[in-house]
Amino acid sequence: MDFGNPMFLWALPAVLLPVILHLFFKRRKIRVHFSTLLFFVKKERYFAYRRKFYEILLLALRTLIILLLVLALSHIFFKRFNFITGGSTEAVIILDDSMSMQSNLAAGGTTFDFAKRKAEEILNSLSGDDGASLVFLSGRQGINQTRDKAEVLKQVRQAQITAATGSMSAAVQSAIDQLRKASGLNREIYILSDFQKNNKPSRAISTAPLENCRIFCIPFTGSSENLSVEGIELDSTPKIVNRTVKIPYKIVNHGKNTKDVKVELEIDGKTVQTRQLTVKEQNSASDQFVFVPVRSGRIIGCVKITDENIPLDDKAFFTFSVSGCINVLLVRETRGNEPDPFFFLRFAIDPVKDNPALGIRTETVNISGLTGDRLKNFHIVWMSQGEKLPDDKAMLIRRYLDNGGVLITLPSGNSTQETYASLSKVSNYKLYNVYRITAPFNKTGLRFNKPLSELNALLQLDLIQWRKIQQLRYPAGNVIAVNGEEPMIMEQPAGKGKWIALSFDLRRDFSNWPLLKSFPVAISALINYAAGNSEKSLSYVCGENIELYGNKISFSTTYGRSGELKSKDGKCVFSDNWLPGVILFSEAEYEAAVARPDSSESITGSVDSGDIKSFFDSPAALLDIGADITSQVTKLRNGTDLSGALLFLMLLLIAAEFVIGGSPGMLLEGIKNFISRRNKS
Amino acid sequence: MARSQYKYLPPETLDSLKNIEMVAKTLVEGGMLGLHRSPYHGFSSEFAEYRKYSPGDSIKYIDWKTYARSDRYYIKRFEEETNLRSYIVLDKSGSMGMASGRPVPVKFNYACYMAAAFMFLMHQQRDACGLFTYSDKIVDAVECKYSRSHLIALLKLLEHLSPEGKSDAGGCLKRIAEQIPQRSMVIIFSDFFDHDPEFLKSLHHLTFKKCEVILFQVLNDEELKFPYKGLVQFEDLETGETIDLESEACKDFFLSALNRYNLNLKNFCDSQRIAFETLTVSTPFERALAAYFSKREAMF
Repeated sequence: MDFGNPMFLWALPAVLLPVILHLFFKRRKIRVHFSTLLFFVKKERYFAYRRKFYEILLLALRTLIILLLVLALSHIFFKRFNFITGGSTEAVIILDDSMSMQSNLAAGGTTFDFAKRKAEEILNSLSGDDGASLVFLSGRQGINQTRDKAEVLKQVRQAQITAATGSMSAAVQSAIDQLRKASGLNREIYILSDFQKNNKPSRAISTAPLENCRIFCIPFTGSSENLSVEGIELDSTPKIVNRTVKIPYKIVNHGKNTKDVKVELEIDGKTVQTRQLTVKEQNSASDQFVFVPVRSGRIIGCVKITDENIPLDDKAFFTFSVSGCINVLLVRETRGNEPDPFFFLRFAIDPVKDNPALGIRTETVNISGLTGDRLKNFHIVWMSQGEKLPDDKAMLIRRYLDNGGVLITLPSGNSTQETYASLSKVSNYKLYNVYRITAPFNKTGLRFNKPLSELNALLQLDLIQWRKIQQLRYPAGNVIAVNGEEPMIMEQPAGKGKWIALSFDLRRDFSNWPLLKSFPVAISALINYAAGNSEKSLSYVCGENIELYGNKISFSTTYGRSGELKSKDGKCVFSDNWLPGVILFSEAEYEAAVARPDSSESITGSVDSGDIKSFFDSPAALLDIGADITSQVTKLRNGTDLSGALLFLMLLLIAAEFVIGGSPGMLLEGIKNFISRRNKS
Repeated sequence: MARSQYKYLPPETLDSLKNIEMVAKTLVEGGMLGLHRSPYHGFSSEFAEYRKYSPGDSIKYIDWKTYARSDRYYIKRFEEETNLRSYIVLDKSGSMGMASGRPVPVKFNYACYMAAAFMFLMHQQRDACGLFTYSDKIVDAVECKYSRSHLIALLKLLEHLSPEGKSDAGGCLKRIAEQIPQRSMVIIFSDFFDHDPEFLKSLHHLTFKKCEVILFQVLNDEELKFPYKGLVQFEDLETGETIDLESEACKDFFLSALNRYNLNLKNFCDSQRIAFETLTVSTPFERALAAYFSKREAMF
């Protein structure tokens, strides 16, 4: 509240005049001791109550009339905010650059472009002494508080939309930090956003530490019709030349109308397949493309749709590395006089050297020759170890597993629970002591569980005659194959990869299986199942930083950026992460990264305008985007003149007083009675 | 009692009562010969009838003149006049204490003056007189006697009475009716503001005992005219209950309710052959007495 003519406030004691007159002319109640009240009816009390009520009502009306008159004459203003006239203003513009701001407006253009124009209006409304800064909702670097508004204006004009989401709380906190450093007396935060439902903070944002701070919300609402592509998650099987790759996708319709949409699979910039889908409103439709790579190396592609709203979520990128075949490294102990444990295996899956007819290429190495660089190139490491695994080799295996490699182990004749115990020193793998004792096992047959259960019908597995096995600890992991209750093949996750343990050797001393026709088929299926994805890429949501290890990492993106990352203590951070696409790195542990838009930003629904105020625990004003921002802000700063409204209300009350009290009212009647009493006396 | 020294029996009252006789309207029973007719025939100056002489009759009552004319013996019979047993019943409940703007309980005092006058009148004509006072119970019960000292005691008792308490006229009058002999005279002073149906039953009880009952309703001018103006808080003298009223708004309703009540009571009294008189304290009680007795005389 503010007053234009505060001198009139000295007249405020006049509101007591009706009270004094009321008390002066108040009818005294006579007390009479009466013989009986039997002849009075209770309802007759009503007359006394009504009279009393009228008197109090008239008193209240008269008091209010004088109060309103005094307030109207004192030129009262209602100010929602305390604006210090003459003091400079520090303004922070929070510009929502999240993906949802790419939605189209009915009048044309995007909400983001419109918001930028409104931000320019705000900057133009500031005077020369005022300061301004720009904060992006996504968290992208804006511009700190400055008197150079031209610089802020330039930043606003250059601002680009991102595929990231944003935190309203963090943005306001950043604005508060800016204002805290500023010297101006008036502090204003302008929030230009679509105020999406996902932006609503879990609890009201507080500006409490900052005095004299006002929040102006400028909400934008674009079209709610939007389609987005989601769900490109390739399976973990190795991608081999001439083998099919399934590319699943999901089209989500966030709008209120059913849409027919053309879905395209784009590989290396060329459309290779097209589909037509119908997606119901507020629903999704899933399907998959089947693609056969014809070359080895890295494939970059995307599933894209054509949609008129929010183009950033119309493409879902993916990348994968294609190999010529599955590389299996066979690791044997360095003892020399032992028979080759992989003889039958090699003969079954890779019989002709340098011609992997089954798509599986094997290479044999002694444990002493095992190195980290060598492991990188193999999808599977198949070990036959009897002696205890040396610690340095265990470390190599652990790193291999952590990066998504697959380890298959055979029991050697002298395998014990100590054989792989060295892995426990470097990891928390439960199966480090997977092998128990070697025991005779005179049974026949083998039964595969899912996902290899198809083999049970295909192969004559009942012909297998077991002689002995090295028992596996059960149930420490997922059982792939059993004989009765006895686990024969087990697997467990290890790092990002897995460890598969066989209870039998692949030689004749354990069973007759290596001699049977079912052996190469089953082992080939097991390798195909087990083969880990050697994909060295990662996926992240736009706006997230990627930490990479390396000193000289360069990058190039599908959205046209390239360069070298700055390294600090052997660590680099990739922060140019605002648009969806594929980023290729060199000299880093990851070859590529896929940036995907934040799916919550595809839903353009805004909160109700009433709810916007509930974002904050201090008063916030909503500005109309259809009207001039400058005039609205000026009005809010100056406040609303209430004199006219008060005078009008006063006239209404006078009319009410005449109606209730009768003309000229009970006040005059009381004065008349008083004068007549004086005359009589 | 040449010059009265009693509060409720001033000298001017004595003068006004000098020539008044309170004669019972009905037959009364008394222990002494008096002014009033008795159901028993005796030998007083008032001739009643002739009866044929029967052996055993005293020959001194033979009318010799009749014998001379008719040559037959006739016995002359006279009505026996007896004295009256009268009971004054005084309502001393709180409602009788209505002050009427003055510091004295005018209604009750007025009733006391009237009661004293009746006591004196009875004494003067050698009738026995008793006194009952009641509120929610019978407070004083003085037996019926004729003596100067008894009258003095009654007058002294009146001086010490003050109105207080709630009223239970129905219950009290019923008990009084059980205590007094039949064919008595009962004079009741009260405002009779009692809506209890037991009250009417008790009056009926009295008439059933062949008593002559006279009701004197004593009212203030304020009760009859309701002269109040503005906002008035009425406090019930008996219950202490209060009610705030706009007096002008409820005046008509009050007066009509009071008149309706009195009319109903009067009708009941007429049906039971009970005298009902409404007295206003603004009327001097000597004048009220005179008016009542002249009216009563006209009835005989």
